Amino acid sequence: MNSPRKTTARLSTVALLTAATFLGSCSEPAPSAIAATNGAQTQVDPGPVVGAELAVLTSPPMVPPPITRDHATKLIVNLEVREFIGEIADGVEYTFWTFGGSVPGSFIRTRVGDVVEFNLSNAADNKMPHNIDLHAVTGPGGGAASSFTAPGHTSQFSFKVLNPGLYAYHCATAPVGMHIANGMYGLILVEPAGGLPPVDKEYYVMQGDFYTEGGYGEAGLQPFSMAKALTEIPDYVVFNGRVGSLVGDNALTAEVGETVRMFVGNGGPNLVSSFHVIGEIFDSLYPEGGNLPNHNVQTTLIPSGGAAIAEFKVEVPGTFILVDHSIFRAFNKGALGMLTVTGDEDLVVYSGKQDDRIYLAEGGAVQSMPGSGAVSVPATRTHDERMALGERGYVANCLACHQSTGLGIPAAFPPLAGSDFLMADKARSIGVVLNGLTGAVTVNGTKFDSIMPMLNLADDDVANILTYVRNTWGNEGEMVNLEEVRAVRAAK
Amino acid sequence: MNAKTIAILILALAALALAGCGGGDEESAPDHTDAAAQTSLFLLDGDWTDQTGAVRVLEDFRGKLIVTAMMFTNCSYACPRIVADLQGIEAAIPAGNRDDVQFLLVSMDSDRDTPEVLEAFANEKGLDPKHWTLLHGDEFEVRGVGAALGVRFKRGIKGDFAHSNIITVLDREGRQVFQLEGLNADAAPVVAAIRERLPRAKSK
Amino acid sequence: MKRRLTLLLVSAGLLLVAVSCDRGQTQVAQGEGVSYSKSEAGPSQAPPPFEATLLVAIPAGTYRPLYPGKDEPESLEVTAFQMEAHPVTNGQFLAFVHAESKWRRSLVPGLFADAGYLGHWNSDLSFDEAIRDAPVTRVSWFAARAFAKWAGRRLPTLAEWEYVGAASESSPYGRDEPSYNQVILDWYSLPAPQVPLAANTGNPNFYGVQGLHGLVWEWVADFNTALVTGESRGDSGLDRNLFCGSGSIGAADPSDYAAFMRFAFRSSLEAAYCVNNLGFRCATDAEE
Repeated sequence: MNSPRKTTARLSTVALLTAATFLGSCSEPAPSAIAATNGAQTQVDPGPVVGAELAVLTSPPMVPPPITRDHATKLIVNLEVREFIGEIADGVEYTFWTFGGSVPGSFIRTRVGDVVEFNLSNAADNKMPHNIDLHAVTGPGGGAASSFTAPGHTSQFSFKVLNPGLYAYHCATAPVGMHIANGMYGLILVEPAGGLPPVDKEYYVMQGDFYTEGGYGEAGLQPFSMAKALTEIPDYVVFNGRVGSLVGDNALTAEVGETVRMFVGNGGPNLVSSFHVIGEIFDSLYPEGGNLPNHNVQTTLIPSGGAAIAEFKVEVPGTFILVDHSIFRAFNKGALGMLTVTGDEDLVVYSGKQDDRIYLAEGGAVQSMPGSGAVSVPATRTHDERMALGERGYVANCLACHQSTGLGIPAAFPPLAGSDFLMADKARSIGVVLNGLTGAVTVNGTKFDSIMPMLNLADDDVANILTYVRNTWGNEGEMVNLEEVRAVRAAK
Repeated sequence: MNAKTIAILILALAALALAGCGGGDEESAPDHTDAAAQTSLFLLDGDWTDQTGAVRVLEDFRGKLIVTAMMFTNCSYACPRIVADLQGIEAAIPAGNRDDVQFLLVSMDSDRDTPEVLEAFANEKGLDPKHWTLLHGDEFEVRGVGAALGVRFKRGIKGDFAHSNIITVLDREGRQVFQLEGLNADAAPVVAAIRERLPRAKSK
Repeated sequence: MKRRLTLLLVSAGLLLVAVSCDRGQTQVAQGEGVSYSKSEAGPSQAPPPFEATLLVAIPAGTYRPLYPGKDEPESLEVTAFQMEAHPVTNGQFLAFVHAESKWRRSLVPGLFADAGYLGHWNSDLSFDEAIRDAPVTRVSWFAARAFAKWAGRRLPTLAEWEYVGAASESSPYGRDEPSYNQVILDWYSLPAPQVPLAANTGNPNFYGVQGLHGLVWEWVADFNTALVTGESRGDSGLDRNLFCGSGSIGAADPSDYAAFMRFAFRSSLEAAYCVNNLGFRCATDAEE
């Protein structure tokens, strides 16, 4: 007979929502022989619990080190709930509720057979009560009732991890949706008795959808929008709690030849993720965090409140983009991350670009259907107008190669800033933008031999961009007007 | 033993350790030393009326082990079961120790459970007035006891109560030492908690 | 219509009263509970003045519980009562602990308050002047009701609190207004301010009561009943030994997120808990 716990008299609010409440000893699971009856899942008898240790917890994208012990233990997990204002995107603040100070919450790593002593603390200055429902728990509410904690208090409960796998956890305090929407989810890994096969890199990635009063990118502190959450139309869909959490300097890294294991979760609260790594194929995938691997998978569905383990060897260098392949989420709502692989090329596996022929049928960066651009363009614009519009056009069409500094990229793309080639002949520069440029040119004494594609730009756009280019970064030239562009086009 | 009990014990020990360290100056003394250790239910100093109509305070029961539960006599299901559970516990106490244990039933129904009603209930259930006291109090006092014991109850529109079922054992100083929740739960730990605090069985 | 008109008139009258209150005319509480214990206040410290908060008369009406009990109607009658216009302040609570020494933080028994009790005060009888008019927090339920009793008042019931709290500035049933919940949610989603706001911050609601939303959580007399299930006797068919699991409950208004949060918060509490953002206000029965 287990000793009853007074704390269980306090009802969980998840219970409220599900119309199932647990009072007193009625929430005690039968403690005996569960492990034996679950043999099919555990496969190997996890053995007796030996000793005790403090769990290593990590913030995303890091994962605690693999478990090397060959026995189950009493694993002590101390997790603190913190409410704080953080950035969900550059300049956009949001009040996150977190397990351990990060979104997703701290990664918890256990081994099957472990008895986890869970101490959930709710920081004193928090406004909300919180609890935790771990999908790795066998017992009512996944621990929700037993872990329900007022601000300034700590709840303790214990559970034995019976089934290996990768499991989501989340707060289950009413209103559950709001607690999850504010970032209260994470992953707990239960390793099988023999551990997971060794890999070179392990990462922790978890998707979540966010609902803010202001639209995507609207600056300032954005409150949670209940209305948007109810209609399930998020403003943000992100990996690891913010736009750009895995981009640029924050990208995941690996070296050619390494095997990468990603523990990927989806906290929701609403959306199902179509998780995909652009340019990679999952050699092994454990769908929904279970223990039967699938192989050679391109995209996997990760349900809200679910997880998957994806393993793949990286054969070639480059940047591999992590996306929710419900693709507007990736490019318009933030669900985009990067894995940067460094090392030697393997041109057999991937050649890189072998040839570049100009294919004029469609044109370049800006694609517009004939006739769709029936927008009346003023014949005359002021210099300031052309500069402002030109900057926008430059950013959209030219910046990728010539860079925001106008300095280009050495040996690849010639500079525009202080460029003698550009400034020497206005009509020629108009022609280059209109028609593209193939063949060697010498710019400021340096020879460049690459291809500038034809940009399918309207005459007005060309005038704007060239006005901008010829009057920026120290360049000084007169305005380029519409007639000049038309003249060059006509002379072609 | 639950976490809260442990915490209270730790506080109590800490308080004992600090007790000799002065601390008489209440403006500068560390807070919550000996005071925090005071968890006796006897601190609830309100007046009650027992089933005989006598005015009682909880302090009156100091010196005995107390087994207590909250109930209301109009309850047709849970409360009779609680009383039956308590009677089972009583029966498991060695006869020679029975005078050492006080059973306390606190009514949550301040309106209807008058002392007369409580007396009739006690008679009907065959509760020995020597060992059983049934208490009527006003709503303020009843809520206080409920809060101190962690018993939740709510008066429904028809005057009946929804409530949690908890049996609590208090030591001779009124401090909570054990709780059993739920009906028909195995009462053995309650009996054990009582027996370990009884003087060596005055077995006959 | 007639009832609504009456409510409006009552409300208008109350607003007038509230305005006069702001000019400093506060009503001193009646009742035997108001007294100062001179011997216990300390020889060098004169008891601070105590001014009870203005009581606002609340007309009778109906309260729609978030979780109606089984066999209960969707609306419960709330009889007329009076509620304090704003939460109890640190200054008011100081007068109480001056008078009732057993509620000072070094003396309060662990049964009645946990170690966080008045933890933001500097000592038993002092705090930073900046928080004098802010709602007192880190007080237990036992302490809150002891204050109320001392002031000759009581804690409001959960139904009373929710009934008044349901009002917006312009209507007794604000939760039907789209903006009402959002305003509350906006507050809930903000961390507590470093410098607490005064207890009388915010616009009076329909009844003339301030600060029910947007300042602190508040204790109610029956805070610990919120999650008890329906009447056990009415339940059948399920395992009745598990009284708790046998009640079927469903929220009356699942979209009322703000109410969910209040209920969740209350249900996380024990009576001795002292929480940073948790205070209280008092109420009384209606005057005869």
